[in-house]
Amino acid sequence: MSAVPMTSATPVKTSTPSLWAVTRSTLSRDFRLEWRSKDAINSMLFFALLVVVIFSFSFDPTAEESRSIAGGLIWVSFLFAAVVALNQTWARELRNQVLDGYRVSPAPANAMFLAKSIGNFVFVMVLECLMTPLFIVFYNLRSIGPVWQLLLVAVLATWALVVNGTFFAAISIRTRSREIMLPLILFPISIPAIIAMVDATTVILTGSDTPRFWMELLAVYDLVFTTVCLSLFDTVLNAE
Amino acid sequence: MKKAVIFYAIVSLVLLSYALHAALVGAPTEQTMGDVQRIFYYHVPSAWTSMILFFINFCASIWFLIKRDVISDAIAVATAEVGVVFCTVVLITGPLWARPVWGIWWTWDARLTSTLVLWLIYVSYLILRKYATGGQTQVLAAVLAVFGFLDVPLVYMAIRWFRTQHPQPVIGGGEGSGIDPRMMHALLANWLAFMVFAGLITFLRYRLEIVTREVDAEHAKRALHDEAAFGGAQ
Amino acid sequence: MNSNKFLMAAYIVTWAIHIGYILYLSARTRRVSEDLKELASTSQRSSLESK
Repeated sequence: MSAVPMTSATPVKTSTPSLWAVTRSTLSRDFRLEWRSKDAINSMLFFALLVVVIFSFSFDPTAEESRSIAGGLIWVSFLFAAVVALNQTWARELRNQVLDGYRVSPAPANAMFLAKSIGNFVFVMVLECLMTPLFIVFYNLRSIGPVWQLLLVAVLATWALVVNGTFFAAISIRTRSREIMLPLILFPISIPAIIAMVDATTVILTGSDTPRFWMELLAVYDLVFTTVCLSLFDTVLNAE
Repeated sequence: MKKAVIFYAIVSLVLLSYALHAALVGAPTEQTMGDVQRIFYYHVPSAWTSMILFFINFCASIWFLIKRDVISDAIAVATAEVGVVFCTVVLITGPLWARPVWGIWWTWDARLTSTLVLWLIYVSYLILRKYATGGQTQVLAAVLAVFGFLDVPLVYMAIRWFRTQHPQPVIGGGEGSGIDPRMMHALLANWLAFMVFAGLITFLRYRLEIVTREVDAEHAKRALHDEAAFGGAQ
Repeated sequence: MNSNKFLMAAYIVTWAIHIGYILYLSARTRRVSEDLKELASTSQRSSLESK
């Protein structure tokens, strides 16, 4: 570096933190906090379990029928569990005025969005992994099609829900009745993704057809809306 | 300006009456469906009109995100509201047509279902506008409008594929099925009439929005002024 | 004949919706113009008082 001694007149070299650096640090912070408090996790796990049980009481299908309706039931219950998770995405930040601090920092707005989305994604995937065995047990499910396809659908579908969900959660915190506002604006826009994930799952479980078109649709959906979210998050963060 | 509005209203009334006549009398009775098919002359033009209004909303929302001006935001809210009104008409006339012809109220017809989703998206847009607090309402709503409109092609593709998997009756006949010229005339006449009518209503809604903003701004100014006057006196 | 009931219902509902919306708009417009008139009259009054 320079041989000139640092004086008060020498400007300190600052650099804009990189997108990934900020994303990583925000993400690890969130994981640490979640792990320590296990706040959200416990209540959501129980909620997820309740949803599975209640749906199982509502529908009592034979093994043959269960394969054709399980897709819809599973994704509807995942959807509701995801909404509960998404609703508290920004709660901690709001409580501690982190968003205001973030706005005046040079850190890119997208980093916070990415971190929250990835965090939510991991969290909802964990929920799904815990709920799926329950569904298998209650519905005596056995997939006719390959399981790896189901996993791929789960990844694409969960990202579709989470990326828009995280974004709309940021919008809904600036409204009255914010808990109801999130699903209200999220569900209509998620409809093509929901059709795709339900039909893909059903088609794989029943082994009746290839899920290729649905997976392609989900991939396109993910691509389009991830791009839109990343482009517009700054606008939403700074809307005042 | 009031005279222009009244003149325009009379023009739309005349067009609507002419179009109504064309739909009920001028157009011949359809062979297989009978007179019920005439719902088509209200159902389809309403659908086209609402799509156009939603497209204008999309453009106005993008313009607003760039320029942040009052006019484009007022256009956005006006077109969204009137679009939802026309969309509601589509969703009610659709089942009323489907029921006597196919014996079912609803079908996952690609266009009808896309219309339903569009209706849901724009109703959620209007609710967001109502419930958002503070000055960010317009920006947040504009962002949602962008999301909503980009969603539409995906919705259409999803439902089209869904229908090839689960075949359903198509309301309104397939694309490009041969149509009697008198039917085409009735269809286009109703479309023109509804477009003119929609233009009038949208303009009135737009004007209402602009005046409401001015009144609210004046109220806010007065409140601040009063506070300054009385606060200072203490 | 039965199917004509649906035809009538469709046309009537269409106009009920449009007229309903127009009535809603005119009610709101009336309220706003009353508000505007009140604002105009109070501003005249306050400017008279301040003289």
